[in-house]
Amino acid sequence: MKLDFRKEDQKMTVVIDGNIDTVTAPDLEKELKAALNDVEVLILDLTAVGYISSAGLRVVMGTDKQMRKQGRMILKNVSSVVKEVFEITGFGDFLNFE
Amino acid sequence: MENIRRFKYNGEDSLVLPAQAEAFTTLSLWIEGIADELAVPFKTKNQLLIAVDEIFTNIASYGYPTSSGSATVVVEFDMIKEILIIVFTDTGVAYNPLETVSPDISGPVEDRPLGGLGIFLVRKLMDSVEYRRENEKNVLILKKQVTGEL
Repeated sequence: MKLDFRKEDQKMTVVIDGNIDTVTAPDLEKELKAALNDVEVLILDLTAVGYISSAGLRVVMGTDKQMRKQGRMILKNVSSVVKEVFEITGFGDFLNFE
Repeated sequence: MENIRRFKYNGEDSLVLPAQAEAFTTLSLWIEGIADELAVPFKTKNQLLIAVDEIFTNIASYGYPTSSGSATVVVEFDMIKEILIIVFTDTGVAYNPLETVSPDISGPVEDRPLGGLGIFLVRKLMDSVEYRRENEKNVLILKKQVTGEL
């Protein structure tokens, strides 16, 4: 998995390249946590994410909870499979999509 | 059965993996390769990878609490029905994931449970999920029609 962080003032976009699975999710969690300081708007660009498993859902939920305290999180360019996973699990009810 | 093709891994009839989450990379690459060979549509391929991730992660996380162990994966393709069959076998703690209670996904975000989501996803994304305890082993079978969705 490759992550590209682009920060402009309090807005940060993270472009995720790779699947968010049981192996990559812990790395994603660690890297996101370390970068959230001062961020008010977090945009996760999922263009290059083929799928997300429940390990990834945990990271998305944890990050969303954190961002609700300091601003908001928005998901962008969500593929049909990832969207399906969010819908099946009810995550689509509380996540913000662009 | 002539209409069933079994996929080989390095010349072997199955892939034997250490029951550790990191080993999922080997498994996912194998499944991806099989899916590509069968020209499985992108969406279906990713649904398969999610299901395989969840089942393998369960075995790696809970199967062997006091020792190290392994999981054996067999992949077959029913060429007539165009169904991919993925069979996981492990000698870990007896565990039927199908007995897991489905999570309540309707409450406020703070109360959303994270446990049980994985197997819930597997059941929604696969056509069938079967479990049996056989000779002191857990046997879990995933089936998914892999064509006809183009």
